[in-house]
Amino acid sequence: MNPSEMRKHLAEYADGELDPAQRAEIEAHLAQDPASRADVARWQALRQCAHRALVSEPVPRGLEDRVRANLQASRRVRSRRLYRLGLPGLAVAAAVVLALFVWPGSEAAATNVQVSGFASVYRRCAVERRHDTLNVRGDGGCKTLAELQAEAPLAAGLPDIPSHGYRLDGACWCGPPECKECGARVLHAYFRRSDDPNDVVSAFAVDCAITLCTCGGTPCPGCQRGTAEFRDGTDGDVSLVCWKRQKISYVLAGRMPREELTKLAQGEVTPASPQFARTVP
Amino acid sequence: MGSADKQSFEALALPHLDTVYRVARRLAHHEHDAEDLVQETFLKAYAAFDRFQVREFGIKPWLLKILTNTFLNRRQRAERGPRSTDPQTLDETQADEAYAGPPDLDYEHLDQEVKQALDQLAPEFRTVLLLWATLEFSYREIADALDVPIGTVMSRLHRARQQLARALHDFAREQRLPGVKTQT
Ligand SMILES: [Zn+2]
Ligand SMILES: [Zn+2]
Ligand SMILES: [Zn+2]
Repeated sequence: MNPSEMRKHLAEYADGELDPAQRAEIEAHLAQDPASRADVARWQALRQCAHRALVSEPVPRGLEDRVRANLQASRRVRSRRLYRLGLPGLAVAAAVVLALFVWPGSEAAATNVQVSGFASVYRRCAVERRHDTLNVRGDGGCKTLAELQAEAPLAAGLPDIPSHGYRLDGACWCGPPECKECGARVLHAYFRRSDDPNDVVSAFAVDCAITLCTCGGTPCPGCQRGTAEFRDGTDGDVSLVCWKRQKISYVLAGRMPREELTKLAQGEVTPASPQFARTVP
Repeated sequence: MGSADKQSFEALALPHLDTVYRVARRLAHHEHDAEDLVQETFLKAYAAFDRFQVREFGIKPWLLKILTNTFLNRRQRAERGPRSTDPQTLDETQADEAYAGPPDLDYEHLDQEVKQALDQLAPEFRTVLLLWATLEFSYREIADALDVPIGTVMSRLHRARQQLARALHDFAREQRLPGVKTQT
C-alpha cells in the first residue's frame, strides 16, 4: 500500500475489517505516524456518534401494541380465508381467539383532540394514499362493514355508513397525535361513494374518551357546537362529528356540510354482534 | 403455521422493534411513514416466518433486510420507474474526489450534526450507513442483509463516511471552530 491507499484504509481498520496482512501493514504504519493514529480514533468516534444519533430517536408510545394488533388482524384474515376453503374447525378456533381478544380499556379522563388531527388523517390516509394496513379493501371493494368488524373489534359500534351508498375502501391504525400521546388505539376506516377522490367519509373509533377541540386551548374552554350528543367542528373544508358510546369515542370526517355528516353519524348504529360484545368494554 | 410458531414469532421479533423503528425513522423523513414501514416489515416477516431459518440468519438482520428492501421498493414505486440516481452510477462517480479525513472535533457533542449529515445521504448509502451505525453488523453481514456484494458495501461505506467527514468539516468551518485542520 502506498501512503494514500493507507489513509483510505484507516476507517476500515477502525472497523476491524481488514485481513491480517493488511492489518499488519497498517499497524506498522500507525506505529510511526501519530496523525494516522488520530484519524483511526476519530473514525471510531464518528461511528459511535452515528450510533448515538440512531438510538437517541424516541420510539412512539403504543407502537408495540399497534404492531401486535396488526399481526393479530392478519392472523384472523388468514383464518377466515381458510374457512372459505372449507376448514370450519379453524374458524371456530378463530372465533375463540376473537372472544379472548379484549382491548384494554383506557381509564384516562377525556382528552382534548384538535379537529385538525383527525382532518389530516382523513386527507392523508383516506383521500391521498388510500392507506389500508388492515387489507380490507378486497377485490372490487366489496368488503362489508361486518367484515371490518370481524377484523377489528373497535369497529363494532360504527354507524351503518354502507347503507347510505358507501363501500368500505380501507382501514388503518392511524390517529391524531394526541391519541398517540395517550396510547389510545385508533381505528380509522374510510368509505367511498363514487370515483371522486373527495367523495369519501372517514370513521374513527378510539378506545378512550375524547372531545373534539377547534380552539387549541388546553384545557378546552368548550368550543364545540351541535347537540349534546353529537358535537361537530370543521377544519378547512372538512367537517367532523364526534360522539361516544360506552367507553368508545367515534369521529366522522368528510367533505360535506356538518348537518349532512351528523345525519350519517346519527344513522342506525349497528348492534355489536354478540361474538364481539366482550371486546367493547 | 401452528399457533406456537405465531407466539415464537412475536417473542423473537418484537424485542427488536425499537431498533427496526429507529432505522426506519432515519430512512423515512416522517414519523408516520416510519411507523408504516415498521408495520409492513413485521407483517411481511410474519407471513414468511415459516420459511425463516433462525440459525442461518439472526432474526434482527432478517427484519432489517425486509425493512430496507421495503423502503427501497417503496421509493422506487413512488418515483414511478427506475431510481432517479442509479446506484451503480452513484458508486462510481466522484471516485477520484480528494480524500477527506475525519476532522479534529469533539465527537461527544456532534450527534445533531451527524444526524443531519446522515439524512442528506442518498438512500443506498444511508441504508448501509445505518446498519453500520447499529454497531451490530460486520461488512459481510451488511452485504447479506442488503443483497449486494461486499465490495459494494465497502465502497458505499467509504463514500458515505467521506460525505459525513466533509459535512463535519463544513460545520467546523461555519462555526469557525479553532484548531481544525482541514485535510484534503
Ligand atoms: Zn393511515
Ligand atoms: Zn386518550
Ligand atoms: Zn377547544
